[in-house]
Amino acid sequence: VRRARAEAVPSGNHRDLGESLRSIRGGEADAVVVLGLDGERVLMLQGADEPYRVVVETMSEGALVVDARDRVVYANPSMRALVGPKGDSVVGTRFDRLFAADSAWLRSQVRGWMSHPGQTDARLGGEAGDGAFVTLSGAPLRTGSFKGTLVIVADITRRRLAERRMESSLAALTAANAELGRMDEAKTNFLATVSHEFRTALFGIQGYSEMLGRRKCPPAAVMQYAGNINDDVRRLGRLISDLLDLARMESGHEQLRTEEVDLSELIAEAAGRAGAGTDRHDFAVSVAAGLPPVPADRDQVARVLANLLANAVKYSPAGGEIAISAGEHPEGVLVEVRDQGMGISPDLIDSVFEPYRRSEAPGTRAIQGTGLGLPIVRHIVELHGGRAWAMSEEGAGSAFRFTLPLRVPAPDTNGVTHKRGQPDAAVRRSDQIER
Amino acid sequence: LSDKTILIVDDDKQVRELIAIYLHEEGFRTMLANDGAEAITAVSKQLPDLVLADVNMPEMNGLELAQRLRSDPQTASIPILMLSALAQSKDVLAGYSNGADEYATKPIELAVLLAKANSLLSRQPGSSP
Repeated sequence: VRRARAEAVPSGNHRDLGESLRSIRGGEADAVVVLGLDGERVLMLQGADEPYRVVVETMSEGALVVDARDRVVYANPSMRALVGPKGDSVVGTRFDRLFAADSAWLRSQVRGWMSHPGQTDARLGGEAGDGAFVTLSGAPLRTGSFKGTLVIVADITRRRLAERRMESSLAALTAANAELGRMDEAKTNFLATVSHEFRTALFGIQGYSEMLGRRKCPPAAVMQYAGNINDDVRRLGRLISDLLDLARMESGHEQLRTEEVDLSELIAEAAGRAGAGTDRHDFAVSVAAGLPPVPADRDQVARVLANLLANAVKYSPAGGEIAISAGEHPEGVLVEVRDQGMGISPDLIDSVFEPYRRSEAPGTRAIQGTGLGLPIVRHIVELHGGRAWAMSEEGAGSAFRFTLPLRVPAPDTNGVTHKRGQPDAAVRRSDQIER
Repeated sequence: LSDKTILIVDDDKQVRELIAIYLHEEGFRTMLANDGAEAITAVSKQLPDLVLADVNMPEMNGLELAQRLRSDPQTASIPILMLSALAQSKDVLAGYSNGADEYATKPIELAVLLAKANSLLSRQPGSSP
């Protein structure tokens, strides 16, 4: 006897006996004790209903019987376990209190199942809204005068979590794929740009050398044609060294030949060279008196300056002043190259240092270059432990700045090879400088 | 053919001058423009017999220039020879679909460029034999 409850019925009272037997079938009583002349007889439900009761009591899904007023009249052990600590007190409560979903909606669903079967997904309330994800399958239940709904509650939490993991992996994959697509497109554009630069320079070389070879080439023109060929050959040379730099950058390993470098001397040289290539720009150099020498790779820093100045010239096609200044800074030495050109729009200002991402702003497609100059600048500066960034007002010019620390960056594993970005080392150095 | 005028449009000064010197030596008159906008101004002053235009240029590129020339009845029949370092199929197709009669890619042998220019000029409806 599972419940210490039995009904005693005097034998011969057949009407009461019939009702008591129904109460066994309905689950209200487990046994009926019949008091007869020959003593007590215990009647228990062992007939047709018992196997179904065992199924319901032992199955892994939860089972609820809900009456017409939304009250739980029965919950099997699996259902009580699903509900958790309050599982043993669910009988008598309103069933929708067990769920996290909108109560009114859930009640109307379950009432509908009183007349025809149905299914829905829901979530148990749990202790803190963290209950199991479940599928509810309902069907009408009628026994005697009882009219209600049988609800089978299947725990689908594991399936749901797996689905969520799959969804988020899928989202991550989709994002990664889109990024790859963008990179692929950027590289395709880059190749087209490089090809354009090569073809343009080659046409100059081919055309002017053809002109030199013509019988009627006037002697006075020879110098000019040769000079033009030389310009294009240099252009090709820069292109090739940019490409080699890019390949080195992408390999992630590079060596610095560090020595004490006098920046004022390097800046003067760079300004002189850049000035020789343009007659529309004035170069104003101002270096703070007593600027200490920096430990740096002279050729690489010269390359940084050359790239920044070439950039300033290129992006101020109307000419104007290009101001180069250098002074002390909490992070070591700060160098700035400022132009009066077209400037950079705010949404592009960070991407100008990324390889293959040359500004797509109107007017810039026609400007020569592969877009490798600034990425190379940032790479070299970071290799030295410094920072490179840009400031700009669109239409009012740009300022490119970089810092170089006064101490050699802390060497990596083998002492000469440095990888990109050493934020810890940079912070340490700036602390030392401020002391 | 020596009375023909060719408008050379290219933002690269050395390229522009190379073509100009060569065509001049071959007996043509030449006009020069740095980009599409300058070319439109030049054409409004004097109609050339042929436009030889680059594609990548500031202000107005070669494709837009071709469109503008085609849409104006005054200039619609002037042959356009595009000469660009953009050499992918899509660039060539863009050239023709915007109104080029011929699309040549840099680098090109000057004699070949001349042959293309002569071919376009001789097919002109109003050209003298």
